[in-house]
Amino acid sequence: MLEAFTDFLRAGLVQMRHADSTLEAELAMAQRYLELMQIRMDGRLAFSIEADAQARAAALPTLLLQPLIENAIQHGVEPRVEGGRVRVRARVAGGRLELRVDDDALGSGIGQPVPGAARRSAHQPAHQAAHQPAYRRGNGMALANIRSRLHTRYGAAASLALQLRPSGACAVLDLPYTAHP
Amino acid sequence: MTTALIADDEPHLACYLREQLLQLWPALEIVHIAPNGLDAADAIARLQPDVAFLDVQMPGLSGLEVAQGIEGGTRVVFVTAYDEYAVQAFDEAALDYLLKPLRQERLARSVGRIQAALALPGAGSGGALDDARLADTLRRLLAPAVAAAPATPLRYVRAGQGAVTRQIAVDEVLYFQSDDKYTVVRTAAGEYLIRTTIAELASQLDPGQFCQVHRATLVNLAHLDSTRRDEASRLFLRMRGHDAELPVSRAYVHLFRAM
Repeated sequence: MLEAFTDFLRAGLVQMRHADSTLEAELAMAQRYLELMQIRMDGRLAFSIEADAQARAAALPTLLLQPLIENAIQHGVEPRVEGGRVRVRARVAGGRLELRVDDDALGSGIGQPVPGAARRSAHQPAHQAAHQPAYRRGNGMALANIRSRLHTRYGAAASLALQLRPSGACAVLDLPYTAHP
Repeated sequence: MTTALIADDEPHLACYLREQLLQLWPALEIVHIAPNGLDAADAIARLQPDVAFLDVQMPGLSGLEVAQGIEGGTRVVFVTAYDEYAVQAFDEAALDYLLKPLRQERLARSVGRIQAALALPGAGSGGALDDARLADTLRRLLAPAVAAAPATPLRYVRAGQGAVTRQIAVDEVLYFQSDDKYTVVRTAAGEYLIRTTIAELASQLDPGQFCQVHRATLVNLAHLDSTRRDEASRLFLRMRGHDAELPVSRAYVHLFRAM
């Protein structure tokens, strides 16, 4: 665990010294972060990272992707008893780079069926009344920060969208593709 | 023999705390390690340990919510990674609090404190003052971040039943009780489900009329019929025109003393 942690710190420090990174380096850091979280959460977290060579060669501002992955863990997987899966995907199409961070854990909670037959009887002790948070909360700081960085760097040519599903969420970063020189 | 429960969603930290505790207090029996708040609440009710070491941030229920739901004599030590500011509040509500990362000399002091508290006559009951303080602190810590209490208290709740939305006057409600992701609205006529949480309702209803008696339960005092203590000195409420008894968690027992 200590090894994974020191690797993560070292990578983070190196990347912070440069404004620009590559998707390759950002994904390597994401991988270490997710491995660390896996150790902490002991089996409640599953993850996958999918990106081809062309996508990995993309130039990318540092620490743009990382907060989205942290959000998926903090607001999606960690508060859910059963945990969940985080999926990081990158693809290049039509001169653009699309990064998706998906999780299948807590979402908007909207549209989930009202429990009918499985309802607790009034005689069951109240301590057994499970009260999982049904939807995710956050203060939107990370998203606002990413949006403002995108705007400074790319103007209107880049965007960040967050979709909350009944369970889980998906963050999509869309920006112009440039291969790292 | 003193029994203890540890609740932490990080198994490595739970194991570490357990090892440290057993070194400092070999006679302590750790009866359960809970990986989340729901499991912790369930195990505390079932095993009635003397002490529960509760991580504050856990999935399912937070450590604070678990503490709010304790019905028996279990005393609480919060374990938290929060900063000093927040931690002071926990100190008021619990036997002790521990800051992560755990330090052995601090834990040793805590063990001394727990042993002293449990050795006092009447240990376990916590005393009315302690309980009142616990209830007050928990209410403050668990209050949803609403800007301000509404000027006029909520008078009706609306519950969807298929295509029909039913309006229920809060005066007719016997109690509200959380049920998984929903809240059950119980009236003499029947029960309905709404999405508003107990904490949200508590902040919107008239506090002179509706009283929280448990993490999961808000009762309408106008319909309270009687209270009963069982042999384990746990308190139960009975509402007029309703058969089931509602348990009162320790933090709220002091509200129902006979006059």
